[in-house]
Amino acid sequence: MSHTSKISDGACDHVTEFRLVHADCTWSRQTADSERIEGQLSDAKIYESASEDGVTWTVVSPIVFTYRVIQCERLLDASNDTLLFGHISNPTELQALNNNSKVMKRFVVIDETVNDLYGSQVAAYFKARGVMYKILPLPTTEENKSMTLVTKILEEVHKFGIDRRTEPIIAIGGGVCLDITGLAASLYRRRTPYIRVPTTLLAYIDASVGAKTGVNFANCKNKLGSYIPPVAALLDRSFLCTLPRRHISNGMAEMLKMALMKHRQLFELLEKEGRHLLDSSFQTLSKIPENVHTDAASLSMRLSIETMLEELAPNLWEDDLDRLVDFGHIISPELEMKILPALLHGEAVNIDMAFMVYVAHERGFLTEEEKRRIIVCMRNLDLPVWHSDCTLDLVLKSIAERLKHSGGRLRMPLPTALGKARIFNDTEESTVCQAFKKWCDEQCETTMKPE
Amino acid sequence: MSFICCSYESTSSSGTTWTVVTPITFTYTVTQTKNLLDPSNDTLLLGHIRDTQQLEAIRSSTRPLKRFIVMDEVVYNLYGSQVTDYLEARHVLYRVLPLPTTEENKSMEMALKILEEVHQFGIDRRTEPIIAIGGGVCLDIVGLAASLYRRRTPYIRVPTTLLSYIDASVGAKTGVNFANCKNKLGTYIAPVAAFLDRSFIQTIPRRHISNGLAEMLKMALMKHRGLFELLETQGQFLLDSKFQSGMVLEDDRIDPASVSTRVAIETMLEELAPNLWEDDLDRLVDFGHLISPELEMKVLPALLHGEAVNIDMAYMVYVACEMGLLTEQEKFRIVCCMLGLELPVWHQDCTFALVQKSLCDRLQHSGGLVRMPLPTGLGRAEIFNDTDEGTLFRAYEKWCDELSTGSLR
Repeated sequence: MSHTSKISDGACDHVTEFRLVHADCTWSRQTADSERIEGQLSDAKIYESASEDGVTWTVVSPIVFTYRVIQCERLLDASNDTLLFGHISNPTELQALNNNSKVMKRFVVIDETVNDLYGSQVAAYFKARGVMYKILPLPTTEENKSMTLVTKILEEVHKFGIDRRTEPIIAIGGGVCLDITGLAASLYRRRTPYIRVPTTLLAYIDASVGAKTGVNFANCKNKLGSYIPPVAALLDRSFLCTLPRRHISNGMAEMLKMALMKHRQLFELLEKEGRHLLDSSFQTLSKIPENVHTDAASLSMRLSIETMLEELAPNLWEDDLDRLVDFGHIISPELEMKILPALLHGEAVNIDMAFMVYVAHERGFLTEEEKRRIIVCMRNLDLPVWHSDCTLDLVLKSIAERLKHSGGRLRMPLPTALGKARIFNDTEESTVCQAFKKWCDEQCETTMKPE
Repeated sequence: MSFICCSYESTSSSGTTWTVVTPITFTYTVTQTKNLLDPSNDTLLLGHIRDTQQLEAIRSSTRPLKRFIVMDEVVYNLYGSQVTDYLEARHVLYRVLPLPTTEENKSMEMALKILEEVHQFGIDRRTEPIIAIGGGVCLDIVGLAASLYRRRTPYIRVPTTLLSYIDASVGAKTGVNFANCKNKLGTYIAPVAAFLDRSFIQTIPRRHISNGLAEMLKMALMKHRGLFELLETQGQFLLDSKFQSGMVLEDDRIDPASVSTRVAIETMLEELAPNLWEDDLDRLVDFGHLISPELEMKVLPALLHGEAVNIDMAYMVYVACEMGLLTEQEKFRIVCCMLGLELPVWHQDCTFALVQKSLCDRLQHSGGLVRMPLPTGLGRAEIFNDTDEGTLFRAYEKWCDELSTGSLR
């Protein structure tokens, strides 16, 4: 790897690479050809070059993020360790904790509505485990998703007092709750471990598996935030029992997104079983042990998470702005914020996707039949495929914003077949307008009325 | 270079566990430069670009650059017009935001204020770094704002004080105070670049130069005997000349200002680069930072950061001596050096109760270990976890006894 050529400039001739070795409590730099000091070698490196103006040092420091996404059952059952220790993969660490007689502490941020349903179970869990706890219920809605709420959480965390590294903050709720708490945790002491417990389908497959945290700012979605993943996301499907039907559809939009972008089998599963999944709130579990991983609910969830992880893990900090997971997220932010709280996030995403399917068809990437199948699938999932507030104006404005926000390129993911997609930078305005007209012609009369 | 491990739990039917392991590589440049605000010098606008092709493309493009700049108010009064002259001459679309970046204002409110202005101005997501020009407080706040905007916005640090030149500019930390505690909120996001122009230091009041020298001394005491001896012998010269000596290349290798700043930065980078996100809480650079946060916040704004750090270090030198790690002679030399740098070596508000409380907080904050860096000779140190109360108290008494008059008895 010729690192030197990347960082040299015209004015300097020579770059020296230094390794860093730890010995006698201190770090020392040494060049590759010098006598190696005994000690721990760091992955970080320092490159030094000199010019007539002075010295330039370049620091290259890899930071490894490790996090676990754990599917489990009966999370709030007192005999289940997961909520307390699920984030620990090191057996020695686990052993040490079990042997430690010191009282554990946990700070829990829980969405208000979720608290009404599960708050007492959460409290009972910690009481039974002898954990000192504080539960903070908050109205974590899209309208409240702000730095003010983050500050509120921080004040309470600070008052309660937690260990810097061993007492993760726990967030229990939907995407908004997880995002806000994640941001608060990222900021406290510059990094505080946190755990996500998603209670909605959307959060289960989307907000819980990535690194993003955030709050809205200046009326823009998620304008402030961080890319700090939780130490663990604990996925207990039973929370979905109490989820209203509309919210299950909401989550299925993100599932469908992944299916359309990269998984034909998942699409066909949603086509065939989507309605049933909706009706059963994803609670269908095969009674036959061998089929446990293959029933529609388990399979669709697993595929959604895996496809999401495939896309997110190699690009955790969005170094690459070409992202298939942005499908459905070019127009929806503008639409969602414009008519807040009329549309749920997934609903807005689906409207965006429905329109983009028309664009893909207009460009000849999808056949009429494929387009039809996708729209029918969306309808069967009870998702909106059109909205009167999604005007051509809004569409064009969103696309202009996208251009600005993404380094001057459109980076528009479009399906090129069922379960396949690519990123395009060359969609013309006329194509967009034509697609918009067809979309309205075909969908506006037959669409669900927005609530 | 990242991968997902997928494992099926075979014993339970509860489901799958995925473990994601992703390395994120942070790369940043610390560049010493001269005449940063001379319009013929590219550095301020392009110095962060490491790719030669990209650099060429920008240099030959006619498209105007856009930059948002936050400046400390005081620095703005001194250099604001030079900065705007530079930007005008380079045809940059700019907004300069002067702010009173003091320790008392170091809050989330100020970070949000910056964010409102940045958002209004509009910058490209990746190619138009926010520039911070000022002391440590300014650099910390702007760094935090930049870290939050769009979840990561590149930013550049231009330190204008000695302290920030060798400390705040070379690490990754950003932050603001919260609930009356220093730097309780922040991130570990490094700037894309820090541009170090020593000439800013000439307008720094003498007291603030001493302030910066404290952090230099810290590195010297922890790991560099040569730097310590230089500060011992050349401290006054550095103060008097305001680090403006040796601006000519040939002098670089022996000029005290060039040598001391270079060594201070190198030693700091050595300690920070392998531990950028403080995975390891054992840090030599914490020397002088166990008691000083409490003291500094208590008497705010009476003590500058470096002054508080030095008081902490002076006390810890007595602790080291009490533990037999330093000889009386070494202790004496260190304290004399501190006095020569015109730094406070004692403070009445640094009571034993404050010392105890600080160490208790340290225990809480550092995973149950006190992790106390102590010098074990001139220019070397170790981390200790077992200093008992008796030793601390005896050291405290001696420290007060010998230094409370402000000079060595």
